[in-house]
Amino acid sequence: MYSDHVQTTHPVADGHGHGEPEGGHGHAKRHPVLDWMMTTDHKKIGVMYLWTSFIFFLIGGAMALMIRVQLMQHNNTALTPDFYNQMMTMHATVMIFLAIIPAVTGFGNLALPLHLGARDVAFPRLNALGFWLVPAGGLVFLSSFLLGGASQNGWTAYPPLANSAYSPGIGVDLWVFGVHLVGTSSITGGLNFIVTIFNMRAPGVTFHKMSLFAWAWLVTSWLQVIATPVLAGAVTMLLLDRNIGTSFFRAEAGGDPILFQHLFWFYSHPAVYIMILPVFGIVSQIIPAFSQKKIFGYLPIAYSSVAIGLFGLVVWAHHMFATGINPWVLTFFMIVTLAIAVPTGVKIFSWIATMWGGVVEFKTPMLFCIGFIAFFTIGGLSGIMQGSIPFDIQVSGTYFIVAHIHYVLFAGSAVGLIAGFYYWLPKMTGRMYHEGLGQLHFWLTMISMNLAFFPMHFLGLQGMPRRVAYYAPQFETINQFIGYSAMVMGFAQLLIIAQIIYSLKFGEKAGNDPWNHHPDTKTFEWDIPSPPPAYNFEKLPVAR
Amino acid sequence: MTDHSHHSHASPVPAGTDVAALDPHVLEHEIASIFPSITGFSTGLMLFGIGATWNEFTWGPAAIVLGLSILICAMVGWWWELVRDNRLEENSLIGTPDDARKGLRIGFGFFIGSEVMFFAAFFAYYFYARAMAPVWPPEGFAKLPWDIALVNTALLVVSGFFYMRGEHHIEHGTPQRSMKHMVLALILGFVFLAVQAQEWMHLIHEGFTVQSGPMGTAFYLLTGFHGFHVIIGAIFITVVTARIALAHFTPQKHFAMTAAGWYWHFVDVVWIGLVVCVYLYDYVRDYFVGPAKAAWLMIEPLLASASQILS
Repeated sequence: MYSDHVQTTHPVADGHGHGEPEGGHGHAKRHPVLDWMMTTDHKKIGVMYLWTSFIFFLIGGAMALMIRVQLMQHNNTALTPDFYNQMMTMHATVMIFLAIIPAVTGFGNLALPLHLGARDVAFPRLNALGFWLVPAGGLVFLSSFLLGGASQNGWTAYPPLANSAYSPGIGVDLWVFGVHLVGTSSITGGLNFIVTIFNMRAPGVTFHKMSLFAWAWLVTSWLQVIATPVLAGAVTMLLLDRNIGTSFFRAEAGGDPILFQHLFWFYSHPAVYIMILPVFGIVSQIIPAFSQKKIFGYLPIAYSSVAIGLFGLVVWAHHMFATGINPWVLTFFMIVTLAIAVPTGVKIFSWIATMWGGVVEFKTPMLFCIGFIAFFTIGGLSGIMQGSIPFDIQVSGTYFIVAHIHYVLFAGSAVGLIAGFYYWLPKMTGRMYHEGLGQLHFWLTMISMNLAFFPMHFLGLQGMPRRVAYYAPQFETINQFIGYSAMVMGFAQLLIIAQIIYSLKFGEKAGNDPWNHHPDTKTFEWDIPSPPPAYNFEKLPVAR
Repeated sequence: MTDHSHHSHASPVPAGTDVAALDPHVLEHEIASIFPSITGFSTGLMLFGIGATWNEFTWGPAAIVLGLSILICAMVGWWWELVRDNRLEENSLIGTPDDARKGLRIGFGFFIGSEVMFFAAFFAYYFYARAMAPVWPPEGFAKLPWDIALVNTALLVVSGFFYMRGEHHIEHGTPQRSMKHMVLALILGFVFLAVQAQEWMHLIHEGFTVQSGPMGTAFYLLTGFHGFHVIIGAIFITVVTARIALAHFTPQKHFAMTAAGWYWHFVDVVWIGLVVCVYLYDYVRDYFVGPAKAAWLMIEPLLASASQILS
């Protein structure tokens, strides 16, 4: 995809007496597959992350549709209970660890060095390792289907259910190893981005001038480095309990399953910010770009990310309101949880204020951002409802939680990522996507998404349990409605493939800046060709 | 290569400067490497093999051996590439060698931070288990032997001291003397491992195993993961020592040595935390007198309740 720009504009003058760097002479002749396997170019790695996450998005989506097929009737026999549980577990696992996190990392790879005016990330090889661990982890996760069945414990893998006594077989073990692999990917990616942001900004790109996408990644990468090792510790303990008879979480041997929940959520709550902060960053780039107006509240948006990151590290026990631990402790977690609404609100009001009085162009990326603001906010508001202990105890374990998580992770993360996809696709391929098809994709997604997820609130309030293959007959009509809506939503996402093909083959040339950014909204990638040449900049970019 | 100007944000180089003029190598060499992808997949294969072995698939051990062999080759290749590129200072994508070293310092610091968080999870289990237990050591268990722990502490601390001297001699241009100190540091590391293995065998022989309830779990996993990190540190020091012998380092340029030192001191600090919390605490708490006892009487319930309210 990227031309060998460097070699053509600057012919190699050998004679430095330096061994044989691989790229120097063999690069042009390398087989394309080997070329992608050996690349350390952040843009190519970003593209590989995005492809990988899209493939897993389709796999995870297919699993979701199988869940919906089973739920079309209250006592359906389409799936066996065991297989339903595997689908339920792997849908979440694939979407979180193999689709959304790699997708945000993909956009980070693609755009972060360009926003900073850097020629690559700080540690290009480590960056490549971070990518390759994702497909490796994906293979380990999915291989369990061939070896007797995947984990049936939900993506949270709580003991005692996940202990070997109740979940024999290879499923949970391979799930743990998959988490190790993608977790290591997350840590290496975070390390790389921290150093890139601290150490590789071009002259004049100070912290208070760098893009809000870079700010979002600064906070995200800290969370990845701080929180992910604790998840690695937690799942390692689970693995050892299962296989060598330790007593971390086995109550019968003196351990305590509640501790697993503490350690798991110490990572997995920050993980929701790992999945949403970079998307906030994407939205903070697109909204000013398509409003032809400088972002409103640059510093408040930047520092609200920091506040969200700090608060996000001390709210984990709000996932444990129903466990019966000390209510005074839970009150602390409740208060901090509710406080997160403040920095999040700062962002939402700043985005709206950016559009206010701007010259708003309703192109596909902007439409998806507006959809993001509207419907992510629903997920944010139901989050505040659940942040309140008395309410959460009522809805914990019901479909209300499922509604909330999908408004946050689909209407939030996925919709924002699709906005980023449309925004940067011309930069990646050098050609435009099809605007009409993009608008169709937008409307289909918005309508079907709300039809699929909004009724889940009602099911939850009426007491339908989540994660179970069967339910009471009175919920059948709503479940069928959700099922059909989910199918429309799922198949509408195939338009992404059509857009990629259109953009690669037929779209008109994008030029440097297809969006005609206002100078106040323009980041460095729009000053250089689409796709950008290897190593991005021949001249150090000028900070604005 | 020594006279470039910096072109990081801290530098006086103006924006718009032709990058090629700053560094003639920048545009000629692509960093390309097959080792990251091989490392990723071989790690996956190895872990997959472990899972299969534990679940009694006959081919499991073969997958472990294959994955681990490929992984070791890939790590050797990767390390070799890094050493080569750093010596040639071809890592110029990221600016001057000074910029690169600054980046390595930040990155390695955060890496150690992530390791600290991994150990934090296991220490959290230890404190949590103590708070849950009515008495500690749990009924039927003896206190852990403090004498071996102190011997091992001395071994690691002295080893860390030798390492510092080794670094000092590199900084002062006397690599021969540095070598001697590094070898001593390494030997003490191996003696530590031998003593620790001896202690494990002794305790296992007495029937205290990883399956002996929370105390066994906490003891073996904390000391086990620590020991694993000592092994990694020893490999790191071995490579660094070989590079001293190959005259790779100068008084100004020896980041690999600094990094290995940070890692070694980190392993040291974890050990001291471990000895204080896991071995010595149960002896010392009975002997607090005077102000120490008063302070202890205030702190202990706080610590206990901190763990208990989360459970």
